[in-house]
Amino acid sequence: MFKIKMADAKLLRDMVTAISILVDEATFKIDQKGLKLRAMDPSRVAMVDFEWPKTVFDEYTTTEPTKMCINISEMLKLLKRAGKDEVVELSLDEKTGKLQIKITGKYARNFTMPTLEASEEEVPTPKITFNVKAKATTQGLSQAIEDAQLVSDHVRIEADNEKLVLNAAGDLMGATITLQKGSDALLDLEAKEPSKATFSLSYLSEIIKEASATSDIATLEFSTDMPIKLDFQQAKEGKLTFYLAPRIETE
Amino acid sequence: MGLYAAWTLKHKPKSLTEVVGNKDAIQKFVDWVKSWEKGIPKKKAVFLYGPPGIGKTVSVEALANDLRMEFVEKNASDYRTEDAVHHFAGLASQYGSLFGGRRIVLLDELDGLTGTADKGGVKAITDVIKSAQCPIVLIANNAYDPRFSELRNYCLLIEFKKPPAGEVMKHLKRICEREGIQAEENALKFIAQRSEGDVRSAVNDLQALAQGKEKLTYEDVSWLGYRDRQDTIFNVLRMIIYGRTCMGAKQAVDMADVDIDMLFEWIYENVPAHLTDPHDLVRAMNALAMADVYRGRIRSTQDWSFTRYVIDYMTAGVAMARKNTKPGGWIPFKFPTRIQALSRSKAERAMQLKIGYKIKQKCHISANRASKEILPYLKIIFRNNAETAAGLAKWLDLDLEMVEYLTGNKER
Repeated sequence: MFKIKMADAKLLRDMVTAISILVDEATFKIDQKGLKLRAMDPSRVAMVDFEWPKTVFDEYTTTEPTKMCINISEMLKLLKRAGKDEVVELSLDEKTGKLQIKITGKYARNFTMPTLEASEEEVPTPKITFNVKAKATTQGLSQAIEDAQLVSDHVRIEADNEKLVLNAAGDLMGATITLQKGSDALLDLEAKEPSKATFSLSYLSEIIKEASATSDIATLEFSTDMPIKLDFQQAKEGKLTFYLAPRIETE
Repeated sequence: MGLYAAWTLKHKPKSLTEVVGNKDAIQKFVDWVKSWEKGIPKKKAVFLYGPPGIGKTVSVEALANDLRMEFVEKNASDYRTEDAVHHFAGLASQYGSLFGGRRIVLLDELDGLTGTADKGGVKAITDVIKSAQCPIVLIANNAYDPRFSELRNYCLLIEFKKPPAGEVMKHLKRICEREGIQAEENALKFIAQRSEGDVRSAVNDLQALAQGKEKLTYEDVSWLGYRDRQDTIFNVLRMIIYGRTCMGAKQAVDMADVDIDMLFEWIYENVPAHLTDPHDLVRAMNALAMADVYRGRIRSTQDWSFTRYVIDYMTAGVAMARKNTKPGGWIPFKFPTRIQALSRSKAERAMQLKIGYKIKQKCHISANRASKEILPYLKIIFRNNAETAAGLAKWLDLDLEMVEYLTGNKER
C-alpha cells in the first residue's frame, strides 16, 4: 500500500513523459526512501534510471516496499488531463490491485487504471569509465541535436578540452556543430583524453527534448566507443539519468 | 514461479547441452556465432527453421546463456511494419551493449508476418541484416515460403528436425526427477512417442498427466489415444474453458500450435457445449464478441497490436465466464464446424470464382458478383439446353472442367 501526493501535477507528467520514450510498460519501486525506476528499451540500447526521494513529494506514505508495473502511455493519457497548479495523488487499491490517480484543482477527478505483473528482471548499472565530462544547457543541446537530425539518423560526438563537436553524416548531406567551452550552451568541459563515439539521433533527440522539460542543465559523460551517460539535473532532489549504447562503427 | 507455471517454461533448457536433439544443427549454429569473434561473416544472419515445439527458440536462448551474450528478442507480432523493424532490430543490431558484452538479436515467429501489410516488414528485415553489426537469428516453421525468397539469400539456413523419441524421453525423465515424480519408463516412452518429436507438446502432456502426482504409471497415460495434432488443442481448450485464472487461460495460447483465428473458431465451437448455464454462456459469448470486434479492427486497420485484446477476451474472458456451470462429466471437444464447412466448399468456391472471371471479361461486372448472380442461371441453362450451353461455353471461353461443373456431370 502506498499513497503519494504532489502539489504540481506537471512535474510528474513531465517525468512520466521522459520515461515513456524508452518503455511502454514500466515497473516502479516504491519504498521508505522514495520512488525508483530503472528500465531498458526493447532493443536494449538505451536505459533510464530515475529516482525521486520522498522529499520531492508533498505527502508520502508507504507501509511496505511495493513494485508496481503500469502501462506508461495509458498513465500519461490520464496525467495529461492535469492542468497547471493542480494536485495529483497516486495510491494503490490493495483489494482490486488498481492504481488510483486523483487530480484535484478546478474540479476533482478520480481515475483508476490496472497494474500489470511486475517484471522480475533487475537492470544493473552500466560500469563505464568516462573520459569526458561536459555540462551543457538542455536548450543548447536540443538545438544542436535538431541541427544534426536534419542530415542523418546518427551523430558522432567528439570532445577534447576545448570543444564538443557533433558530427552527422547522412547519405548525401553532412553537418558539423561545434560547442566551445565556456559558451552559452557549454558550461563546462573536461576531457582526460580526446574521445569520440556515435549515437542514435532518434533516441538522443527524444530524450533531450522530453528531459529538458524537467531540467535546464545536463551532464554528458562518455568515452571512445562506449555508452554515453546523460544526467539531467533536477530542480528539486532526484535523479533522471539516461544511458545510450554507442553505434558500432565499421571503418 | 507458482504451482501452475507451465513446465515448458519452468524446465526450459538453460544450456545447449540440455537441449533435446538436433546436435548437428546446434553445432552449426554455435560455429557460426563463434565465427563472429574473428570478424563479421559473409552471412550476418541465421535462419533456423523446422516444425513447432522442437527447440529452435530455446536453442538461441541457451546459446546466449552459454556464451554470456546479451539476448535481445521480439516476436513477429511486435514488428510487423517497416518502421517497427527498423526501430527495434535496426537499433539492436547496429548499436553496442550498455554492459559491454556481445549481443545476439532474435526475430522470432516470422511465419506470423503475413499479408500485404507486412511486406514492408520482411523487406526491412533484409535491410537490417545487410547493415547488421551483430549476429541476427531468424526463426520460422517454413523458411522456404516464397515471401522469404529474397531474405534467404542473406541467411545461413539451418534446419531443425524432430528429435527421436528416445531423446524426448530423456528430457521427460529429467523433468520428472526435478519434480520428484517417480515415472514408469514405458509411461514416458508412450508420451514421447505420441509427441512425434514435438518436445513442447510432450512436456505439456507430461504436466497435464503427472502434475501433483508422486507416481506416473503406464495406466495413467495409456488411455490417451494415439497422438494427432488435435490433442494439443484439446489441452489448450481445457485450459481456457476450465481455466481458473486469467493468467492460466492466457498462457494456453502459447501452447497452441494453431493461429489465433483458428483458436478463436475452436473456442467458439466448443464453449456452448461446456458452459451449460445460460448466464455463463452469455458472458463467454460477450467476451468472444469483443474478441471478434478487435479481430475486425485488426483487419480494417492492420494494427496488429490489437491482437493482445483478442487474446485477452477469448481466453481470460471465456475462462472468467464460468460462474454457475457445474462440472458435469466428460464432454468431448469438437472440430470447428465453420472451418469444416469452409474447407469442404473451398474447391467449389474456387471453381465458381474461376467461372466468374470468365464472365467478368465479357459482361464487365466483378468476378465475385458474376459468380453469385449469373452463375446460377448458367447452371440452369447448362443442365437443360445443351445447344445454348455449347454456344455460351464457346463465347465465355470455358474449359472442360468448368463445363463439367456447370452441367453437374463429370462424365460428359
